[in-house]
Amino acid sequence: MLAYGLRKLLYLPLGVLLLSLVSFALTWLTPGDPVQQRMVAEGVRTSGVDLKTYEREYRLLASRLDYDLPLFYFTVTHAALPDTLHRIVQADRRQTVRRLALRHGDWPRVQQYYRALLGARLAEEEAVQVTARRLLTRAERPYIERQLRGLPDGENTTELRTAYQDMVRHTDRSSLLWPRIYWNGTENRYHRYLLRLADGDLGISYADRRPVAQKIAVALPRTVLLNGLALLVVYLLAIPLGLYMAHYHRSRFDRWATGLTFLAFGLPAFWVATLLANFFTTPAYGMNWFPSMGFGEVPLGAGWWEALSIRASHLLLPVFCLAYPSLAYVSRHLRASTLVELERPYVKTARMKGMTGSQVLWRHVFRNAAFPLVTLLGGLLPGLLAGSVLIEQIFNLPGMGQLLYEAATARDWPVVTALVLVNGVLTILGLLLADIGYALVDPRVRLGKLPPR
Amino acid sequence: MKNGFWAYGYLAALLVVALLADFIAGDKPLVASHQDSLHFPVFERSLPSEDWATVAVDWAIWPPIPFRASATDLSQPGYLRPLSPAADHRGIHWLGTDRLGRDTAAGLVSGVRVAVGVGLGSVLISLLLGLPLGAVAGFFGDHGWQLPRGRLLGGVIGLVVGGLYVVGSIAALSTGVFHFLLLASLVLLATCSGGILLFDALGRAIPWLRRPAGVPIDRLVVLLLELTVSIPGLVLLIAVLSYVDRSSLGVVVLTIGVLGWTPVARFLRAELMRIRELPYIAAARVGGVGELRLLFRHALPNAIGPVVVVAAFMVGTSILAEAMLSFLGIGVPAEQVTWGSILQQSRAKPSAWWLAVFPGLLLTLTLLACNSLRQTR
Repeated sequence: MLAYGLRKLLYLPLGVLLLSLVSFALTWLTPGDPVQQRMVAEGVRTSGVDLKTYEREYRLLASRLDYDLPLFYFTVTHAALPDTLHRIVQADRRQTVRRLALRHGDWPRVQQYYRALLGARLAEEEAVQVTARRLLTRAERPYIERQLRGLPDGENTTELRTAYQDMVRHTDRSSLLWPRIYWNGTENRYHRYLLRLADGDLGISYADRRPVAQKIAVALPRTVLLNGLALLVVYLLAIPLGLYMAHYHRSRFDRWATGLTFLAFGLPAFWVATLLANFFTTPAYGMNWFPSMGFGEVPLGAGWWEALSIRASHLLLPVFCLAYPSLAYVSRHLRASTLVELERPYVKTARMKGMTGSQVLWRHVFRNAAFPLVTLLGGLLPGLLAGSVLIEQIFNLPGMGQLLYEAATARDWPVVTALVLVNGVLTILGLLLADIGYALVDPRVRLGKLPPR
Repeated sequence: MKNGFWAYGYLAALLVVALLADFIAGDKPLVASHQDSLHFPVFERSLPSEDWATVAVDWAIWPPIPFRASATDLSQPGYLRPLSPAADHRGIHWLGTDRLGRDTAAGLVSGVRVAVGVGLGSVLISLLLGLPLGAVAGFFGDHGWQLPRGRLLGGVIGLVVGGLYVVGSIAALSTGVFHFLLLASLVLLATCSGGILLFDALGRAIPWLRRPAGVPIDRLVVLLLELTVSIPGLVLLIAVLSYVDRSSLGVVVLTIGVLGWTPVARFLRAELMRIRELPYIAAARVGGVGELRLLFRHALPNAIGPVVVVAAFMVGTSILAEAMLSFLGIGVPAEQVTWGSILQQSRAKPSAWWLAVFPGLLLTLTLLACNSLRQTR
């Protein structure tokens, strides 16, 4: 048992590691300049300040967010790019230098040109300054040449022109063919990202400048409540339903229940939820019986009955919509496995001992037929979490699904990536618990006689 | 079987509607006579004018639903009930209109086209990914494919080195996606065979490298499966699609397809694990049939039938995923009318029941048809 549990436990760090890679890749793919977005989110003034102050602020923030570090433990690149490119912190400048280096292939000369631009951006003449700042963000050849031609003569201009011509004349893209691998050690963004995750720091929401961890901490218990209730309903109803469907095999009850569960499995929950929300939570049809948003506020000093009825009126429809597809799925599964068990000789023995039908069903058959239910729990969890995105949106319940929807439509990247991570970890934990639980109740799994899934 | 029959009929009808969508709903006549010449406006472009409603035609045969799905009609208040006449008495809004006066029936027809496209397209991608992985994992298992240790080691090392080179240099050098794929596969082929040749040569000196070892394909595929399953699909789908700058149906199809490879692979793997133990495979092997021929000519044809059924079921889940995404308005272009987007509109106006009932009904029937295909086998 211990060995089995440990082997299953090995999936946990592996899965979490992969998830952290996925969510880190998503942060890396974020469109736009993340440091600039964070500056806006933190309320740093970006317009109206002079360039030097802005650059200092940018540099400070970038180093606080580790954007001045290389991306990963190692960098795979080629001879045209140096191992120190990440030290250019401003994203648009780094992009420009990168494109120049890829086009001309000679890093020392590209660096020379970049240095000349950096010098010129603080030049005495206004025109040189403006042009240099423009050139720092553009790499197109005709654009650069036009801008350089239009410059007034001077010390900076000559330096710029010679550096540029030097770079163009020595264009040699063969250096792109020479591979280079640099080892960065633990001073990299992914490592720092993992350390921050371990600290519980998930970044700051662009939408309202609150820590993402705090937003998730508010939303998570609500989603867990919703899904927990749905799971409870599923198992409380599906077990007797499935068992009796098999017990009364081919009776009218069985036929009706089979047909209904087939229908329920095909009815999309979000459509049913929309219909229910439209009919019963709005005054459009005179059937405004349920509140249309939130989990309900329980007034202070209310009795338990009042509190319960307030909560129930808010949660009845969402829990129903979340539960019924899984209910159909689980009860059909249980019916099938019970039918197999009912054919076994031990059922006949139990009958011959004089036990009644329902005694046999609940004491003997149920225990054997219910093993797969434990694993189904693991499979249901991702479905429930995904389903609650729509259900929460339709019934206006501010949980993790609603948070994901709002973050995705508002392009609030830190929240989106954090939610992918949290949802994944929840699912992995669910799968792990289901596997271990299965092995605990069914010794055949431990001995490797049956595959758990 | 009676149960399966209606499902096949319904799905075939859906396919026909998707193929003939332009003839069923559109604001161009099927045939029109204009200034003594015959026009087929559905096939022609811009003759004599884009807007056929304003052209004085001698006679014309209009489609049964004479509206375009995205054509708005602001001359009347929106949310017309079903069976109300259109503004210019061109026809009847059979199933009503939405807030902007767009015809619901035409929207449903356009939704059929989207649903069929997304369902078939994404399942095709899932099959492309899932079939090879599942087949190889199930048929060979961990020990079915024996290689000398040296070759295995050399091939893996070659692939890693080639992969690093592709990431580092080729990605920067290539000018387009096709160019990149061509160069990358050439480089990988070269490094892989180079690694194998190198370790073959080394194997002459070191006997340890010559001993055969099983390629743990099954273990790798199962690991990949378990890791993919551990991410809730819709959550990842929403996250990935929210990163795409210009939303398009192609990206939706691609994402749903790539994330949907697991059921195909899992099912085919289980099926082939059963088939490879059957006596006729052993008999063929004794008869001298090679392993690859055994897989493709003997084992796979017997496994493909059940896989087709799983694929039919997955068409349903893909259509459902697309409907959910367009209901949320993520990934699917805003101007594209789909079942999900019509359903979403009903939330703004609960009393417009026709916006909620009809698309949901079509979606449910489609899902039930796909599910019952699996039942009949």
